Amino acid sequence: MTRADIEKLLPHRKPFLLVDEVTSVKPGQRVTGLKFLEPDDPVFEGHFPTDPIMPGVLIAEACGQLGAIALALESGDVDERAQSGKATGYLASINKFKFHSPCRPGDTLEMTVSVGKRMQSLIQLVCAVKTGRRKVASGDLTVALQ
Amino acid sequence: MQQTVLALVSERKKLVSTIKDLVIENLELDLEPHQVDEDCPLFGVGLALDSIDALQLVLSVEREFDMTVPTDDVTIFRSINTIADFIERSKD
Repeated sequence: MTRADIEKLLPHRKPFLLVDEVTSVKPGQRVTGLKFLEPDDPVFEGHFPTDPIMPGVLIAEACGQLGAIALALESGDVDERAQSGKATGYLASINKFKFHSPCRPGDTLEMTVSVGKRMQSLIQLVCAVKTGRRKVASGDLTVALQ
Repeated sequence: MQQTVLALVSERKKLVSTIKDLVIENLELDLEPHQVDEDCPLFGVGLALDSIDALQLVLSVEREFDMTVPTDDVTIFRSINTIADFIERSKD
């Protein structure tokens, strides 16, 4: 799934759309996707000027956005969803998220998000992120769907 | 007979204590176990937990007791004692 399709599903836009490509998706269950860490991304100018690394909170946010794609596609394909309105999910909690190793400009984040337990409008997302063979982050998010 | 009853009481106390620890630890409550009454409502008044806490509680009970907890029965999480009742029922 390309960036154009992703923009049909999510309300986020540059510079805060943090999913560049969706590589596989099982609607309502599991999704994998990529985020390319462009060396000229302004976030690296300040985080940190002499030691640029991707902020952990943005990695968690990217996982939340990717999870929203799996949830959005539960009720129709990309074009059907684009017609019916974009999925808006709000991050409700970040649970026991671990950042195992830093990611730098030029790295590609390979994210896998599985949809877990649901309770009314709250949904658990189980996240794992790596770059190449290196484990980058893992943890659970809770999102509230509107 | 009396020994069986005593064993059941002891088992129940242990279960309640485990659930209290689970609630305090997973929801990061600033409370000691003896400050949490077993019949105190967990949501609304009482401990005033919210829906996000509820989902966390479901997940932590599932992890600790290796079981599946339904999310459509709100009565299970009314209090520490109702959680203990549910776990005991599930074992039978």
